Amino acid sequence: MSEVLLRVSGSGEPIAVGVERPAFSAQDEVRVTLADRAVDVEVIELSEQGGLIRAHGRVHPFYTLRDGGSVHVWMHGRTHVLEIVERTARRATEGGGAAAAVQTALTAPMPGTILKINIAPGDRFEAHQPLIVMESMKMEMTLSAPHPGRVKDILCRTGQLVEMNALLARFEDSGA
Amino acid sequence: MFNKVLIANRGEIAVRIAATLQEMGIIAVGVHSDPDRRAVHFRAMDEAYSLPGNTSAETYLRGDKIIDLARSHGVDAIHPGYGFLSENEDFAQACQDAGITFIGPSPRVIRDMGDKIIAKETFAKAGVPVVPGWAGSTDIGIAALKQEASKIGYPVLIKAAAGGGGKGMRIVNAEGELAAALEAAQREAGSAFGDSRVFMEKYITRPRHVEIQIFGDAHGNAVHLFERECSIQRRHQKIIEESPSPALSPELRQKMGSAAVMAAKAIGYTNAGTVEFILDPNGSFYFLEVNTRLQVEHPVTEMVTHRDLVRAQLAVAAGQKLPFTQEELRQDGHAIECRIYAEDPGRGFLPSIGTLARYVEPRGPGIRIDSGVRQGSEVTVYYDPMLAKLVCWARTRDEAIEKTLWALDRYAIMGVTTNTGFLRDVIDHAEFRRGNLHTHFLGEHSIGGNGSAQPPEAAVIAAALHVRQVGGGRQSARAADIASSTDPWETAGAWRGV
Repeated sequence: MSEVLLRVSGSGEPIAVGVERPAFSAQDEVRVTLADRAVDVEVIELSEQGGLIRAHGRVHPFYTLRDGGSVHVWMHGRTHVLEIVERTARRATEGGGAAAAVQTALTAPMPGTILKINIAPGDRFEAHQPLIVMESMKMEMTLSAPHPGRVKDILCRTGQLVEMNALLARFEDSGA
Repeated sequence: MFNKVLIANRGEIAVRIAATLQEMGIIAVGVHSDPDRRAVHFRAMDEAYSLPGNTSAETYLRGDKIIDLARSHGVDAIHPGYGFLSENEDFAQACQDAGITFIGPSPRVIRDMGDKIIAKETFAKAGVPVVPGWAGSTDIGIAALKQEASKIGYPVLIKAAAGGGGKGMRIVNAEGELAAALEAAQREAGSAFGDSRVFMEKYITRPRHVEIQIFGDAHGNAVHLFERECSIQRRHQKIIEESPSPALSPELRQKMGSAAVMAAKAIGYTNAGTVEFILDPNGSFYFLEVNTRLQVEHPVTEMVTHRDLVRAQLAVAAGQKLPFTQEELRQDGHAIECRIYAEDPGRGFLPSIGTLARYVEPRGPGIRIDSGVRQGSEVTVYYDPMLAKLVCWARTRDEAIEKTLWALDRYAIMGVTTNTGFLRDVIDHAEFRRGNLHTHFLGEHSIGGNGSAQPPEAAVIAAALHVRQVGGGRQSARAADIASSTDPWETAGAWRGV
């Protein structure tokens, strides 16, 4: 029995999905176990791009797209993102998911121009405090602090044209 | 009629205009920027010429280059589509000077209606109700401006004279906020339109946005093609439009239509245009602005009137009489349009860029899709991230809602984040179904983001089967994701839900 570990993007516990081909069954039937519950699934089509399955008589066409360590599944009008949990990484991530929330830098969400910088190196800031104002696609956007912290350095200046994901400011390590 | 028409635009509207030209036996001439060499609108044309460069400013906004191309390739007329040069009176004038027909109103009308202050005065003179407000020079100083704002009564809305799309717009709830809001609006208006003049209006709470499609010809005829309700907006931009409006009685429709036609005649309006009104909960309507172009949402009017508006634009531009009289026009059934955007509703509608790895459109009776993309298309930072418009027609509003939901459920777009799930949530909302719409609908009902939805069991199984089939290692990542956890619209104050 082979097991795949998936986690709904941004949420906690991984889901273990067992996939096996039962003996003496039709060519395209597999038995899937989800949280210790077995579901018989008929795999009518399956490729890298998507497929068609039938379970309990219900027909589910879907498309898939791989994005790094995640699978995007489009089904019935919604796209769901499932992270593939590596077996070796399982133990490490099971401990707690809270660590991911701390950001070490502020990056430009879009290409644009820096209009205003409200912070200087060494400044302490509160969560949601507006740090940098930029303009992109002719609209102003305020980049706010994701959490409380302290500015390490500023890597942009007013009037500068920045690319998407450009590093604008770095924060001190938390607890500093 | 024209022999060759150049479409000075890109994306879905260029594709849509080309179709009518080709049906009429007119040669469709396109233009394209460097990144649009593989765009759908390029391949839809009979002829296409290059505008070197990437940004709009280097390409689709270069009226001089477009007119040069038109002249050297024997073009008779230019259709500007919407956006870009469509409401630029200098471009319309330059076309005229070059002996090329501009498909739209006269440069004078574009100029006067483009100035929201003049437009408002013109309509007030023609007897159309306007929102109480103040317009003038902000040089009178903050003290005098505060007095004017108190006269109007808070909340007050600051708008850009040259504005559109919500840029340079701020709501001021109290006197203390006025100075800062004025400064921000002026700065934004200056950078977006090169004109920092602003004006103030009474801010009407819970208004509906209802607009009337008008059409005039050079023979003094003007008609209206009924209304479109466009109250569902995010960041001041429409995302769902429909006709008829659930708020209009036949009497009110007649009243608003007549007001729009009266004003159109008063200003000598030719070609297609839209008179936008806000409608308050008591059924009073006020003039908002005129859009001197074919609107993004024109398909809902085409679906309920069974008329091709681009065909009518060409007829009128060629000097013919309007192809329909007011008496011949009927509103039949109900149409709803959804704008499909590459954006993330879970992150403040931030545009999402990347490659459309999967793109599958729904098909069925009564479903029209005006699309500017196909599988493999790139969504870039250079242009508006609207991918397509889904327009569904049915006999009644309820049926049109059901058809729209059906179609959204079968619209598969992957590789960029889109708003299809969000649109579905809005249309399926009980208040939307009841027709209780207003421009704060999205903010009030806090529909936003669908990232937390638990995937159905079958989707988890599909993902597991995929991993079994393809393997679990890291695959090549796409560069599409926008890496930042900040919500840029969050602190932008007036943007949201107006």
